[in-house]
Amino acid sequence: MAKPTGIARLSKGLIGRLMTVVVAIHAILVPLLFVGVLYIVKQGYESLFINQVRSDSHMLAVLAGRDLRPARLQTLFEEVALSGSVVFWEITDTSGQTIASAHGPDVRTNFQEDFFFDEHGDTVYHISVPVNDDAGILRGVLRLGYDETPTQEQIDNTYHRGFYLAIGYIALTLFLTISGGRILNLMRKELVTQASALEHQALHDTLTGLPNRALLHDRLKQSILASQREHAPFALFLMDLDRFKEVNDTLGHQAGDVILQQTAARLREAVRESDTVARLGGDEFAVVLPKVDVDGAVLIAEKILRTLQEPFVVESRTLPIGASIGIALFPGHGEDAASLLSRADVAMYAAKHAGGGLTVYDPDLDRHSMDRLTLTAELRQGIDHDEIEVYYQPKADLHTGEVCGVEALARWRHPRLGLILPEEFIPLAERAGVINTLTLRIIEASARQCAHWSSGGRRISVAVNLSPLSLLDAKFAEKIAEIIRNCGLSACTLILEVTEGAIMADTPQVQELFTQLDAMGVRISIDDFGTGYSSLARLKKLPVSEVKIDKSFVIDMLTDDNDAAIVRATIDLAHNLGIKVVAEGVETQGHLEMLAAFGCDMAQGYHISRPLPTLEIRHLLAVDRKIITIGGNEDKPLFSGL
Amino acid sequence: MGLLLMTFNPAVADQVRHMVLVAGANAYVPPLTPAEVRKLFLGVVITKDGQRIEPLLNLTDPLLHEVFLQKVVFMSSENYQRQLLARINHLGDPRPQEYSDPWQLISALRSRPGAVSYMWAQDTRPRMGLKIVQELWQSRQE
Repeated sequence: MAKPTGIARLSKGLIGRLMTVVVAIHAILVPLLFVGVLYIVKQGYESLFINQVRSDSHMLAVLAGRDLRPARLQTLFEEVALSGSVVFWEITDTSGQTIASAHGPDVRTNFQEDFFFDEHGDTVYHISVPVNDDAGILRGVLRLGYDETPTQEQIDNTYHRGFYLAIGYIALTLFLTISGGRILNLMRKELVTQASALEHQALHDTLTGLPNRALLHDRLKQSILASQREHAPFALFLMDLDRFKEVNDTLGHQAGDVILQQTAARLREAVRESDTVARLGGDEFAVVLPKVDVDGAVLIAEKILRTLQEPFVVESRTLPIGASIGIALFPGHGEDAASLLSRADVAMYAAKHAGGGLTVYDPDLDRHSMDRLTLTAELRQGIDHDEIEVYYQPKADLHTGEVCGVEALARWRHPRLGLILPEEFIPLAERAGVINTLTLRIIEASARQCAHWSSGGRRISVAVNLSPLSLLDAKFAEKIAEIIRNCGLSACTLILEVTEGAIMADTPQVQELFTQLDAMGVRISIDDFGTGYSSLARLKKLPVSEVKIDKSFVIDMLTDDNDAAIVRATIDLAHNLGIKVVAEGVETQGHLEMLAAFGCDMAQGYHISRPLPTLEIRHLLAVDRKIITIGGNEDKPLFSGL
Repeated sequence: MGLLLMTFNPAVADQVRHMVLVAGANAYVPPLTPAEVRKLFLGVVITKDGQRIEPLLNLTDPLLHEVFLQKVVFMSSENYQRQLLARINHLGDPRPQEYSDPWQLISALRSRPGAVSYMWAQDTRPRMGLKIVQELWQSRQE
């Protein structure tokens, strides 16, 4: 259809419609108002004139009747004529003979009496009045001609003014209509813009600009309809960022927001224009991919994962952020939006549980999902009912071969499921918001145990892992001090392990906490060292007394020269900074030998001992002073418990 | 309506016009001076020979009314109305009743003993139950 132009377009616009209405109204109003008003004014002028003529002529007739001498009458009416309004006068006696008269050169003397203004087509109002004497006897007739021109001019002037006023009124009205129309147009545009903005705001995430959950639901419904119509499957991804929580907790929300924005941008670039990328909240994203089967979905998910594995740069820091993607397909995994979302969520959790990557939904996963929900609910009760036990894994001093310390490791003795490892329930505790309570319980139990050993003559250190969330607790140092005081523990025997990721932020809050702990005598150990992006130089700024080389380097160092080089270099550099080094993941005597050769201070791993329950660690500490031998050739665990 | 038709008949318009003061045929209304007629229709109470005269305004013919205003009260229509209102407001006298329907006017004149009004002489007929009290104006008189 051709686009309307010119007048057609104007008539369809707001201003055009307004003008049409205004013109239509004024086509009726203007004649009614102005013509009506002008008619009333004209009547007023005419009435005034006629009244003057009739009353003046009557008064003159009365005056004339008192003295009918011609000379007097001549004088009287000359005076009257000088007033300018009387242009003709004549007095006749009862027989019709003229007694006295006068008239101007242009005045028609053919007398024909008028009873209305402007009657008979001349500009003179003729009137005759009987002249009676004082006794009331008729003595003659006075005929007068009054000039209608001044009154007519006033009426004409009024007409002209009325006409100009009407033109001015119409022009002003049109101007105001156009101006008003423009203002209304602007207001309407502003309202439309605001409404669009509000609608956008209601359906989009303000931080990333991506569609939000509500719009995702709508897009899912549309995709389901389109898929049913075209018999083509589509995929739904639910994606959760790995390590985002650590970044958010340690670097702050602003850094977290930057990560989310960068993630949104990367996701948009990774998918097609027709795909929908949405943010559901927190670090959860969703992607709807129309006309994609399972193979295509996996390919795209892998592409997204590759994209997100590229480190993020926030405030000049390079941060590794991965992602876990759960994939659900329509119609295979669900026939409505809710079930698809639920199943993609199950798949995503499975992916996360597997350490990241992607997982396509499988009905078997649902069972785990239910287990997870149940476990989360049971964990709170478990903490209250002292179902959390502390196991201790010894650390051996590579110089003396003796146990120099233990790492406290939590185990959940579930009444139904048996012993559950921390990898299973610590994420649940973090999600359920009970991680701080759990951490403090473990620290207290460990501190009490350590104090007990000290009192028995075994002065060894105990190390407890901290969640990044604990670093955000402003009263954390106070709580630790209280535990140490209550347990009668020497503070220097307590080591708090934080992951490398948790100290990436190097925020004033972390700095302050570490300083407080250091002042108390509590030692700080950096766990999983080498997996993050921190540097030894950064460690120099923090009161760190120990680093634990991640087991991934230690395990492979016997076969991988690079890993061996990393381990050695880390040991050397840490020593140069006055920091002790613990090697994790020692699984063979060969590891021990090599670490000893590198000058490592301590070692920890299954080759030395598995984590042991309290009774067993007590036994170990009671019987074996020397737990390792350097230079031996045993490859079985040196201590495997009772 | 017949009266109106007669009023606007061109043939009649060319004739000499007589405007007369009329009353009911059985009423006793003595002749009045021009000044008394003027006063009467300006709302002044006139009592003559013990009879209070009641003026009735004849609005059946615009020309007749204008002639009446010009020849009897010497005022414009608006000013006449203003004067009447002013007098009524100041003195509380009754306003002369107005008649736009000729038959109602004739009926009022016949039924009220002191009622008078003005008409063209040509419009008064013997069987109408009216009588001419006096002539107020004739077109050739002046």
